[in-house]
Amino acid sequence: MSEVHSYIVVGSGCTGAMAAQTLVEAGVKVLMLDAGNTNETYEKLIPEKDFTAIRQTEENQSDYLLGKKFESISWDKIGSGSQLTPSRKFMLSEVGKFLEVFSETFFPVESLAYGGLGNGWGLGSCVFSDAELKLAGLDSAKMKTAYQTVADRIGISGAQDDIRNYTTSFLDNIMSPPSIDSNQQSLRNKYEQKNRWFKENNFFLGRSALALITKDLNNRKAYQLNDLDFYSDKGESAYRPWITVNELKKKNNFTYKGGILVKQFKELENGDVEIITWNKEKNEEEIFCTQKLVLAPGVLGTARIVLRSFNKENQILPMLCNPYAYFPCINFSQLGKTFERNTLGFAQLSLFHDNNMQGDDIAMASLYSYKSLMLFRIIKEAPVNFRDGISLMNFLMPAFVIMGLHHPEKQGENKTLSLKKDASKITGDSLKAEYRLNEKETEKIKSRNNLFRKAMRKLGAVPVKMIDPGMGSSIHYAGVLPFEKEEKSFSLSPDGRLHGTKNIFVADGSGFRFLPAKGLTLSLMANAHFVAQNALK
Amino acid sequence: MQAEASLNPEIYFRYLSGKNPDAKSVELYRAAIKHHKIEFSKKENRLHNLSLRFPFLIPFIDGGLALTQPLSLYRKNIYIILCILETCPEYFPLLSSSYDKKSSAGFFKTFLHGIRAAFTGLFGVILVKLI
Ligand SMILES: Cc1cc2nc3c(=O)[nH]c(=O)nc-3n(C[C@H](O)[C@H](O)[C@H](O)COP(=O)(O)OP(=O)(O)OC[C@H]3O[C@@H](n4cnc5c(N)ncnc54)[C@H](O)[C@@H]3O)c2cc1C
Repeated sequence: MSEVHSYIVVGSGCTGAMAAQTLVEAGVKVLMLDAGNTNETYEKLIPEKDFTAIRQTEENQSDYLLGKKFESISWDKIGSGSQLTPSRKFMLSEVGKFLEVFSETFFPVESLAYGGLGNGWGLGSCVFSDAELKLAGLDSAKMKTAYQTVADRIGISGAQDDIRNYTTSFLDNIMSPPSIDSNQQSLRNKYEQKNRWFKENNFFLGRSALALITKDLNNRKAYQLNDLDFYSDKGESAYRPWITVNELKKKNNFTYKGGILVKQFKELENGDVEIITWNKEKNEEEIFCTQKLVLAPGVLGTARIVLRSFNKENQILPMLCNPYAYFPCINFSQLGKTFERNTLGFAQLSLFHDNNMQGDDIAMASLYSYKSLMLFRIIKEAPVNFRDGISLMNFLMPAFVIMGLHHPEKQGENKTLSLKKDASKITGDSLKAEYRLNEKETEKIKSRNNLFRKAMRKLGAVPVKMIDPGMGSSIHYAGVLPFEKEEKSFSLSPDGRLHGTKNIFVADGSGFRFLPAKGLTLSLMANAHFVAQNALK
Repeated sequence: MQAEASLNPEIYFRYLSGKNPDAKSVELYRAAIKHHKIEFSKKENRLHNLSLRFPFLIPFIDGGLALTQPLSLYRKNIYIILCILETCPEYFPLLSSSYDKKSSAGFFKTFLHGIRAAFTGLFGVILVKLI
């Protein structure tokens, strides 16, 4: 250990990237430490053609559609992260080795990749309502400014429709959404026809707000419909955090160091922070020192690092994760229709249920058409022989609407994390997790699921099945060090500082005290910007 | 336990596509099962041997297992072949008929396949129980 750095940011995911950008733009020197796994094999293999042309002509397509190790072929039940294609799956590499979680009730998806989970995120971007911000422990006025900064950086598309209040609300510079396919348009038509029922029942449907640019932005190209949304990032129209970090690498006051696993920190008497890491390439410990540390390794990563640093093996931390399920639906008006050549793979429509119209109990469903994830995944789920499954699913596919339904989540008794000793691990420990909803919560989710089923039927799409991949599958995590105004161990001050320390800040979602059903990532990034501003003070 | 070389993928390729597989598809299959080991249980072995002798029984066995034991390795073996077919350009028409214009004959054919699937499944449940 020699140099004392001014700022060290841990993690290159959505939150690390945003925090680092804020610091770098303020002119301070920043070192980013990151596990930083990469794999560009697949991106290079995918030709400059659309998905249909690839399928019709490319002899070696199985290399990237199934994967060189056939990693897309999964014979398990659908679980957390099973939708990931080979070019996205690398983001999970080494997670079993370094980030094992022991649990019978919680199955998280974590990442040690350059860009983190943001390599595969679905781009759904919504601002939280004032009520949701308050419940989460976030300052409404400050977050509003931060939301706008982040939206301008990443670029967001959406529409001025019935859900604008739930998605982009007060944000300016929103780009128009990409075109909608006829499957989803027919749902929108039904919504218009039955608008009264939807309004009376507090349901609102509209175009999803996505971190997807439909106009060129800096070096990024406007979105082109090519049906490769789950495979390729050509043109960089979908926001991925590595886009930001790649740009930061061009600046003199920013240094990126990958291959580093942060284990723990120690605040010294003079206020400097010592960071003990594992250099994965050299297979040895490496120590860094900084005046200010900004942690953004994802909330479960933060929990590990903080518990380890305070050497609290039996300490139990709370956590939050949105309950989630998929509902494949059949849109009868589309039965027997022909596929459009290119459609948007990300959510095209979002359906919100604002329970009491107060903005504090909103559930959200994202509606997808099913195409470029290939037929085989869906045939596997059908209770028929594969040969007839091929013709039946070919017939049904253009009419498939997949509803992914998220529920809001509050803190609770059996939603906890702790560290347990594990000599087999380089870190010397593993995470233990428990996540159980109580009876009342389960009942509420059940009845809300039924309400959404009913709403889908009104839209002409009949749910045929519910697939519950288990707790953790929403990939929305928060709340391990909840915001507290008063100094209290294992919590954060509202400005993101770790209580009990002077110079350690947490920029990921660890402080959120409530998890709205809307995708949390735009709010995570806005908070990360806000925390970085506070770290500058 | 069934050794990889004797899994005879050809009959399952024919079952799904109606054609003999080309060398490349078989090569892909062999590569795939190196990563996805298929070790049949005794019962799955019996079902596989029966399929070799009477290939017309495959849809019944497959359909019966789809209802009773959807994650059986017998089905996994066919599933791997399905995945490979879907990524071979020559099978694009088979696995992408949703791109074609639909005729009323097409509707009728799908309807018949639905009925066939139900019957093969029900008969298959009995067959799989007996073997
Ligand atoms: C398939 C999928 C779809 C999703 N869709 C949506 C969506 O539509 N909308 C939405 O809002 N959210 C969505 N999400 C969730 C979203 O991706 C996450 O909320 C977000 O990416 C979290 O960012 P983060 O920076 O907090 O953490 P992460 O993305 O987990 O980043 C953590 C970073 O820290 C590094 N790191 C971790 N531990 C260490 C360590 N000990 N030492 C050094 N480095 C470390 C990692 O390498 C990584 O760079 C989705 C996620 C997935 C996987």
